[in-house]
Amino acid sequence: MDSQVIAALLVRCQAGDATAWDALVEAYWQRLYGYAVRATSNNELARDLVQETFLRIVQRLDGYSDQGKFEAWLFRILVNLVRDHGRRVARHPTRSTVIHDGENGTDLADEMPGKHVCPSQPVQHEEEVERLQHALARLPELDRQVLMLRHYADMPFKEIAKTLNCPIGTVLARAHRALGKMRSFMEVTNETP
Amino acid sequence: MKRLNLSQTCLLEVSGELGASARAKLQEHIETYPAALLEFELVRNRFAMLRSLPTFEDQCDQFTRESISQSIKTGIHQALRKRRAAAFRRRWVRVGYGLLSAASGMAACLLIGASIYMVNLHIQERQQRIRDAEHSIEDVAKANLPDQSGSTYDKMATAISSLEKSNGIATTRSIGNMHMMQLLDALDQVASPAPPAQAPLDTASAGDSQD
Repeated sequence: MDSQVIAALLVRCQAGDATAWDALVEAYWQRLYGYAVRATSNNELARDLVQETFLRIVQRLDGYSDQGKFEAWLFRILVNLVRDHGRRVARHPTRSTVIHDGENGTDLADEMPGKHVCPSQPVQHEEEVERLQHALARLPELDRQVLMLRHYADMPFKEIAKTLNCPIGTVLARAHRALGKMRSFMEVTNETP
Repeated sequence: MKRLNLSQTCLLEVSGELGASARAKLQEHIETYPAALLEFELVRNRFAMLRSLPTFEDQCDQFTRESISQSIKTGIHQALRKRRAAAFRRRWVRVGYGLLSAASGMAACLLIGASIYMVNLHIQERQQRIRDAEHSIEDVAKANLPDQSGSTYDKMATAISSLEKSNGIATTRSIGNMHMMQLLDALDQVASPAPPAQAPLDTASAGDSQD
């Protein structure tokens, strides 16, 4: 959505316009949810986190002055919520949803909703998709975060840099490294009988 | 734009984020150097691998999307209602505090005014009592000392004033002498007391006296 449209929406939201909030949710919820559902491997939790993200925006929008960084702000809140949830789960591993690097314990891809939610997924791609998801889940958190924001949240690398508050060169380096690792994981699994 | 290396630039290009001029430069570089072309192809393949992962939009039907969207919106609407209610409460609490403050201020002013009035009243009463006492003393003095013209005091005052007028202050200093003179005059006017009665002479006592 155009930044001017977003700015106008934000002004209406600050005035308490419920329809403007609906429009704002419509503009962003799918990208937020797409990232959250992959990061948490839990549909309900992802929905709650997205809702919590918007609720935090509701609470803090009064003091917000738009400088074209709303999207980065929105995703930063979600990324932090997902990270905090991951830490909570790590402290209390009895919870059903577990986020980790896939290095030990259950793989993230085992609980990915993509395997179960999509009945129309082509059968010939299922195996490859599954291996890709495993490879993605095995990446270190920071590298995986960049790729997930780029792909599932459809966020440009420049916006990812703003969201993660780091230089674009760092983001691109992480993405490049992560893609290389993914390719290596895929080749390893290809060779494994 | 910061300087990026070839891999990073290729990544931006396959991501569709490279500007027109940078893209032209990259194309020129790739055409010039075969290694650069290989790197570009490598990055493009890897990025395509990432893009082959199904997204949420690919996986959810319209009904699921609607239900998720609706639940998020419902949560936000509830939060907005709570926020409005809280703002309404806060506004009234603020008004209440304002009214209470104003009432407290007015009460304090009234108290201070009343205190000042009471103190003034007390002072006026006290002054009135003093004035009344002074008047009473004057009245008593007038009642106890009726017109005494021609009395000794008046005569003396007249004499002193005439003396002052005639002879000045130096003479006035000897007013004590004048009093003394007047006292002596008064004593002269007092009748001489009768001589004591002659007691009969006792022979014994006469004889003792002779002794």
